[in-house]
Amino acid sequence: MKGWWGRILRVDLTNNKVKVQEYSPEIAQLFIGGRGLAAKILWDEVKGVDPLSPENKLVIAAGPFNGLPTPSGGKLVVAAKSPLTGGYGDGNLGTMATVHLRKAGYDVIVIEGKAKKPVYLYVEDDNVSILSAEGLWGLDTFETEKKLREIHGKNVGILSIGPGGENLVKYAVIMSQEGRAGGRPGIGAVMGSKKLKAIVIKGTKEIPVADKDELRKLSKGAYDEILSKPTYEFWHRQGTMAAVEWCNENSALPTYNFQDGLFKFARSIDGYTLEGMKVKQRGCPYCNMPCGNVVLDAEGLESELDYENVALLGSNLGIGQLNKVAVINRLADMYGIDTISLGGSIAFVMEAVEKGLLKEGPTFGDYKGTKELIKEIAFRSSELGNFAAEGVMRMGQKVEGGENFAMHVKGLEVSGYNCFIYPAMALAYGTSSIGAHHKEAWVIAWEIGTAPIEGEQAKKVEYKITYTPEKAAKVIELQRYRGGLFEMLSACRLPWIELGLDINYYPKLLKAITGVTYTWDDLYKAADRVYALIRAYWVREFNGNWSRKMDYPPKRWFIEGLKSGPYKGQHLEMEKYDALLSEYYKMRGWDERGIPTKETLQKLKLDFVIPELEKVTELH
Amino acid sequence: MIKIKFMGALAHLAESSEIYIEVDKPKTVDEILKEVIKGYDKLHDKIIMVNGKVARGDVIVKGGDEIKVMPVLSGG
Repeated sequence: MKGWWGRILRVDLTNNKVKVQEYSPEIAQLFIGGRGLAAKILWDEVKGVDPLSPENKLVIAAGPFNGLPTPSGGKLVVAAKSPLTGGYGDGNLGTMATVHLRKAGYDVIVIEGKAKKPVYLYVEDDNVSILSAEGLWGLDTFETEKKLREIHGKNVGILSIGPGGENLVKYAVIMSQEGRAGGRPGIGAVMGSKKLKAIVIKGTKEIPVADKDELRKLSKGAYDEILSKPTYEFWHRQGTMAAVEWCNENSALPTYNFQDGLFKFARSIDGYTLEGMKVKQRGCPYCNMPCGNVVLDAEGLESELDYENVALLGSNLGIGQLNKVAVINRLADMYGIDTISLGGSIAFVMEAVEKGLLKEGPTFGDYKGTKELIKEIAFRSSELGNFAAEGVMRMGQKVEGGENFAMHVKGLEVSGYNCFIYPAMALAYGTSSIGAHHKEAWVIAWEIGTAPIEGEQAKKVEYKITYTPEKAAKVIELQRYRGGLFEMLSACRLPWIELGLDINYYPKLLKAITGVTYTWDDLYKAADRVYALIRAYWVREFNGNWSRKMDYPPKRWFIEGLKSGPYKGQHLEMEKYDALLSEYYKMRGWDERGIPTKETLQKLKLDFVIPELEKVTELH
Repeated sequence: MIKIKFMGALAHLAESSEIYIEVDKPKTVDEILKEVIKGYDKLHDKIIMVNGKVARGDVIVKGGDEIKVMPVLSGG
């Protein structure tokens, strides 16, 4: 094979054993890499197990773009059965570890079992060692990387967990390079449950490429095109932080646990404020449009900010000073806790305290109380910290009336877009593969901009909440690109979606790297295959106890309205959302419960799924 | 007089977040924005609003109207 190594590094921590397994070209072509391979491995090997038991497996999966000069192709997928949701969980992060993994001669690492004492994994090409992590366990992720670099040198890629992962915080992440995080649904906790503190990789091999000249030519074209885009310069100034102003303007900024979509102090946490504080910019490997904006926080230390962190840890907690939000963000990165779920969980606590449902804890705007609570969550060192470490869904089940303000889907906390007036975005959250995450279909801008403008008579229209079938189609279209193609390539979507890089570069690059011709139809099918496989995974892991209610967005968007702004009082309607969801299922070839039909599974070459699913439910 | 509000990358390209311009005759939003936003034709996507309503670029505006133009982002 070209482009793929076809090699999986398998590490068994219980028995201290390492081996290399080869996989077939057919599997490579069907599932491409990244999320595709991760989903296939979890389907085959992780069935009905407790996510925090040794039987769960941690899958670190690269794709064909990684380690090669491809536009923003420096991502790495980390996946496992999620302790937060009980279903499929993954995330991606930009890291040198993806470059070294591929240069070491592997596409994937699968870690199973559990070490007796804390360990870390050191991979140097064909030499793999399981080493003692004594002296590292208990350290934060920044210190851990620093120590490992002192031992192994600077030219390595490192993934690590902090106290969040060690103490099995349900939304602990895997971190790299002081600010790169991946695995929102508790993938860091899975790593912690295996007593695996870090993975250090050094690769020196040349990745086999089908057509090197063509790859060089295409990459140069793509990189040059990115630089020529009119919006490039502004992207360089603010990166994703431009979204604070944008979301506030469009009543979508999570504010006070999603009670509102506008924040009084938005201006003091937005991209312009960031510009005044920025001290450096960081990027992922092979990226020429870096978005890692580093500021000095209120304690004088460096913190890497992006929109999601600031929305969830700023406006959603009622904290309106960016340098303070930056401290909270840095603490989350050091402890190795997902900033989005952390913001959602603390906001839930704050609202519960204000409603008198919890006796003590911080209230909105309480910076000091928030800082203390983060530490208590990371170390599970107080009753409240231990409670909040379980995430919003579990807290919502324990607090009276909590489900009315528990902002999650399938157990994963909602990311940075408030959807009181955006049904398509709510559908994107409802049907995302991992719970309420935006990466697979950020449809909100399309939803506003097309609201619907048709014909001469309607050149100007007021934005209205509508539930047209086109919205379901658009969510699927975006899921194919973003949740499918980009997650399988394990590449960043931002060059295409933010700056408008021609999407046709991607199949061409894939061909140059692998030698395999993919038409768009092939790529859509591959994306649909992975979506259906992940959905089947959820259904199997829930033992067939599955209904369309799993795809419902949080109650709050239906029973309350926006508190202020031009759309004050407006909210979604359940019956209409349900009809939109039915359209979505129909287009995907899933039944009314949201389960792929037999015919759909066969069409997508997922025949192997059928007998297993039939053990837990009847297929239509 | 037409008021134009720019957001994000478009404010950067127009080198202002808000401007007022005189028009001698009714023009389309696209015609006006081409004059004030560098590289307007090359922008891959944008959302236009006229007097608070979502509008297409071919809508005609006149004195007293307010245009708001914002980029399409991808989200974090």
